[in-house]
Amino acid sequence: MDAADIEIIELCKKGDPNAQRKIYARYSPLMFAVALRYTNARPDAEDVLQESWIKVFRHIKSFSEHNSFEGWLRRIVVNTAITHYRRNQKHQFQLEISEVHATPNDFEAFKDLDFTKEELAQAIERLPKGYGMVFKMYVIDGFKHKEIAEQLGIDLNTSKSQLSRARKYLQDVLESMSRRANEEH
Amino acid sequence: MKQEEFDQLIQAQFANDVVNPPAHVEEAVFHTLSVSTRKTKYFGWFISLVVVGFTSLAAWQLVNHPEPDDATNPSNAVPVLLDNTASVPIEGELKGQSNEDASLGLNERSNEAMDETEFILAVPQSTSKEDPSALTEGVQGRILATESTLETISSRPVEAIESNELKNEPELEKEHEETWTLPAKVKVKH
Repeated sequence: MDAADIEIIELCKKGDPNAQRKIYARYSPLMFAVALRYTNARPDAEDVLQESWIKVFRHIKSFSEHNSFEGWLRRIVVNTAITHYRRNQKHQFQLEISEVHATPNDFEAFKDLDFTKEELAQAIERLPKGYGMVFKMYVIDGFKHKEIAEQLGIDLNTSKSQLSRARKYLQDVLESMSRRANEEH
Repeated sequence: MKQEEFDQLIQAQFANDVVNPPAHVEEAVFHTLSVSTRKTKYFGWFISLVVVGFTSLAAWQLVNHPEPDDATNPSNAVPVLLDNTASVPIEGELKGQSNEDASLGLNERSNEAMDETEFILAVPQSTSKEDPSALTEGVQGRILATESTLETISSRPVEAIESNELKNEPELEKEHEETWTLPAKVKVKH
């Protein structure tokens, strides 16, 4: 975080509207991308973004400049998206740990990750909701299993098992996509 | 490819994702913020107005309706010191009066629970609905008389107590002609 950022954040803490506009313009594209990743549709992502910014400005006084502002924003968006998702779907994330299949330690099938970003996004979107949520939180947004368990209201081991399942599922999806692409050529 | 490498590659693909949000979201955010700020400000003003109103009302009541300053009002009465011996004539005086006084009960309790040197802090209250001033004058006279009998002392004399330290110190004992027991303290007398 550079000095300009720190200055803007300090002004936001004092409720300066210009500083709030500046910080919004700077970080909104990043936050909207995160919101889109965790919601089913664009209107939902817009709701999540709006709710997140209101939370940010209301709680910005509690933000310490020693932490990453971007990381803090990211967490707020993800938490808001989860709350939004729960409110709308009443989805339960509980799965039996005993059902977890063995996870391969390596992804031998992928000597190189020759998939485009869009293809990867499609593959991730095809993950079952529970798996997808844990996978995105852990792999993309850097949450720890403890945080995921707290946010989703699940057991720590369930979070770990869901991640393993997600990886396995994603591996299968990517393999089938790769096979299909080879057949077409 | 290892699992960690796979995770890192995925993370790298999505970590720096940016998508511009529609403009109406920004307007909605700042509209909500301004409404909430205005609500907070109005609430603050309302609270200030309420406080100022109550303070003014209380001040106005104090100025326009001063409370009567007499002994019939217990809240205005000055607490005085009474000793239990001085309370005896009051009891006698009050016997026969229809209105039983709270101070009587207080004096009775003080007779039972306190010894002669103790004093009680009592609030004189009206004992007669017909003529409270007569009793007040009598009470005040007795209070003055009691105060005159009170002796003010700055400190209480304490008798000196002889220290046992010297008595407990081992003396030089002479068991036989030439044998002395130690430890001992030798005192030389001139």
